[in-house]
Amino acid sequence: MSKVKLLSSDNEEFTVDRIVAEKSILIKNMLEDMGEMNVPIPLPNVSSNVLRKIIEWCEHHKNDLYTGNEDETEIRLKKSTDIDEWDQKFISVDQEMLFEIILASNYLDIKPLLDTGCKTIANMIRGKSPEDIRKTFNIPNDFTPEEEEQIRKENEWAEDR
Amino acid sequence: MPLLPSVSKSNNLSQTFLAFMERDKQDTLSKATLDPCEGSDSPIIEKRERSSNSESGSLSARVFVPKEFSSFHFSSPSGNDLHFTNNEMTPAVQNLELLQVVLNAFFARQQSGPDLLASPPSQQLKRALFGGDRRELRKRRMITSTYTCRGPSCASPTSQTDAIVNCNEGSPHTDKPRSASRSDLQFNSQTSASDNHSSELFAPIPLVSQTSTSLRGSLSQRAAFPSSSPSSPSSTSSATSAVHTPTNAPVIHSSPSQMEAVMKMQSLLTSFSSFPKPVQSYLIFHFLQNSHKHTIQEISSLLNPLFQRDFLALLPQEICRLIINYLDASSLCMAAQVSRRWNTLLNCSREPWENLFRADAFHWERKDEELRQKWLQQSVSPCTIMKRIYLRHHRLRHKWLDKNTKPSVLSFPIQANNVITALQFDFEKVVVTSDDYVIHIYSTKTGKLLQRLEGHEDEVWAFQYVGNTLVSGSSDKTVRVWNMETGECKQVFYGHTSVIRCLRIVTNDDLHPTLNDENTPVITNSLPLNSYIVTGSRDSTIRVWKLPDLTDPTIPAQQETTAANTEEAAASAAVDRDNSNPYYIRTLRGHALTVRDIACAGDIVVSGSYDGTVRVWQASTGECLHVLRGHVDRVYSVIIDETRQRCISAGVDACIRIWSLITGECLHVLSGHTSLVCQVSLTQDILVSGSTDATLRVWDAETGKCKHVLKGHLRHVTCFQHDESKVISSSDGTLKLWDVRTGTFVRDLLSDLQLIFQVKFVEYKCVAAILRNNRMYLDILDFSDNATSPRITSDVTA
Repeated sequence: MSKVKLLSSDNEEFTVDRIVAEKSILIKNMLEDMGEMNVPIPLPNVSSNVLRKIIEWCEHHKNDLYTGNEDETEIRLKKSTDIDEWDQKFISVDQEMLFEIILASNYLDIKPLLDTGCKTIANMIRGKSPEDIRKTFNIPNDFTPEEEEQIRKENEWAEDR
Repeated sequence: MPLLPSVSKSNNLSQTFLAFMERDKQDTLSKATLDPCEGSDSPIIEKRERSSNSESGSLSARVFVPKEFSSFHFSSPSGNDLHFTNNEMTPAVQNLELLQVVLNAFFARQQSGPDLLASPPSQQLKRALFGGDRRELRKRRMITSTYTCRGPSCASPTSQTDAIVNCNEGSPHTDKPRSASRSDLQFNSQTSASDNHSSELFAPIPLVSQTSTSLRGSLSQRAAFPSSSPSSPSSTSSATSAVHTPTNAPVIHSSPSQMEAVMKMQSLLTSFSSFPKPVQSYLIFHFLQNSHKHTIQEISSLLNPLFQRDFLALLPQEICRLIINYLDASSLCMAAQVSRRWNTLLNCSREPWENLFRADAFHWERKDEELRQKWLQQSVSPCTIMKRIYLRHHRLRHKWLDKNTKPSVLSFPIQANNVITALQFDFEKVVVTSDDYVIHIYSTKTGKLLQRLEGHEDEVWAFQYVGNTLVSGSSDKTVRVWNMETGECKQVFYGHTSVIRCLRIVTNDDLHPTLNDENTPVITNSLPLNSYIVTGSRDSTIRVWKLPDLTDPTIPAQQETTAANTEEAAASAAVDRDNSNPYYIRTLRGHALTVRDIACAGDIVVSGSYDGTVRVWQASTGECLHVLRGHVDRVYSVIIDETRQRCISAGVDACIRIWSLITGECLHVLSGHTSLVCQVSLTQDILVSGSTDATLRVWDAETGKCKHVLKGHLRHVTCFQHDESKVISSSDGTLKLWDVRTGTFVRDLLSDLQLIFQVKFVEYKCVAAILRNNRMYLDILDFSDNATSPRITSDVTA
């Protein structure tokens, strides 16, 4: 099986199977355009620790069917934030790493991984009060008391679900 | 404000620390990645501590060791590296041991005096480092801990390391210095275990250290200036002394040996900052391993905010949008209250609200369109409008379907004889007609009688009002137009020769958005006729009238042409009469028997008759477009499905038929009811039918499939109304509320009554015309928030 070399922003070289690298649509398109490349593909937006993590994900999902044709609105209508068990463990990282994974999967165009990251954040927000959300993400409350009251009214959610 | 506001991503020490803290917390650590047989280059090491520190509550048995701890080695400028050969042990064990050597060397050096810091290590130090039996050490360590590890080493030689470990031989070493370091570290756990928990981590250091070093200070300083020279002790101490608050520090009575150990902390910290990253990581890792659980909690609470990310504020907008789309409605509301930035983000797109609106199967009603127009004029953002409309629907559904909601009830007696024939209401007034020839208007709020419309000479079977104009049809064969405010009868239309059974007012307001261009727009979007009235009668004809304006002068009364001698004369007199009525447009003839029900949409009129046919007419031309044949008995109810360009009819034969308005063919026959279907109603894709077989059925309007059978009534269903969420139906003595989406019974709204004649609901209010204790009442149920407590008024006089 042909191998692909990837070069992280901090110049660490990774050699992976082409099928693994092609989970990234960015790399897949590059490989299709350029043909076989002996030089490593530079990924200036991805550091080695993040790239290592992403390769781990791609390795696990290398045999998944490409699901890019799924109707996006259908998915959104379902509002499903279920995450596959392996992915859940995979994505159980600190927020810094999660942040980097999301950015990198967006840059590398790995949609299922990006979705997993987004769902993870949605799940972190879900069911929390504004104050809990602030604590979760370390966000200062920058509303004036008047603004806060007005916004509270606008977003009043009287019922418990 | 965050405790440590700015943090560099390059702060790898904390990062790796946090990584394994997090890992350790989660017992879900993947076993698959720890499988040594897999042979991949995963940087995870599983370490099982068996004996040490059980009493100090240190890190639990399974510890995640980041790759940094296993991926470096030391080399000297002379090229004589520390060489542990791979055939003796796995690379990671080698590295870990090497690190331990560094750690031991450090403390050995400390014990030998500070002058060693500058000078190269003496033979004494070398002996201290490597003088013991290395094999013995290894054996001991194999007992206490098991390492399973994989991963390649990568070289990161630095001169800093060379200064510490600069030796020419990989001679076996003793674990004596190591145990010394352990006792130093244990000091931490001992003091913290006995201390006031809030300051246990930091207090001892400023108290005993001359330079008042605080871990908190150095941590924050490091976070704030990651690029500043790490080997500058003066900057560290000056920055940290500012943090020192000796008055708050608790007094610690420590032994001289502990004092001595703490004294060393300052120099340790000074040297520490000059260590290469992997050494720092390793040191911290072992410090933590020997720390009390509470100490680690403290550190964790300090460090965690450093790695928290305000995702929505920092991620690109398109990714934020993905995240927002995964949020449910209540989370969207909560998230909008987090900060200004979040509020802006969550208010920039109406898409999530539109998705929720669809997902919850809400129906866009005319009221929504009105609200939207109103808010648009007030420059409310499209997202906020959509949110408000979503919440409006959501709250309505919740109020009605939540069994705990207690509606307020206003009940008052009304004037009527035996039967209530029709009812219509809004938040101001309830209009009811009965067999006493008078139309009564009551206040919805108080139950007070507001108006009596007197003039009909027989019972009124049908009426409808729009604005202040009320049009009524009666058994006296006349159609009357009333000013509801003044109670004045403005017009009387003659022409029908029998009871007026049904009546519709069609105005431009009723028009719905343009239909799909691909289909032939049977229902045109503009009214060729202005607002008009359609009346259906037992005389089997339908008459179309122009809707009078209330300011129009009253036309002269035209008496019935009964005086005519011949049929021809009567017919010609009737024509004259119609021609003299400026509001008369035409008569639609074709049905053979009573016209029982009419539905109108735009220019289309659909009529259902006792002759078993349904006819489709064009109001503006009078043309009969289709005669829909299929029912084998009387048709009782017809409705128009504008979206699908269909009409639906039901009647005595227990079948419901769905017809195409374009071709006139019957698309679906909905069977299931076992008896007369008295009424069908439709909102978007929900079709509901009520039958004398005591059930209601919920159908898919598109496919005609039966979705639910609402069973619970004991006798025939007299009337019902439904919307996107609920069905309210009446059968003799009870008024039942059903969840239209699940088909489940929710609760009885009213029960133990003699009869329920009519029921209607609008938003939070439901009005029922009932017979209780042989007396006619109107019961008004209010599910709104500001509903007053239940009350029953006594007789109300006008």
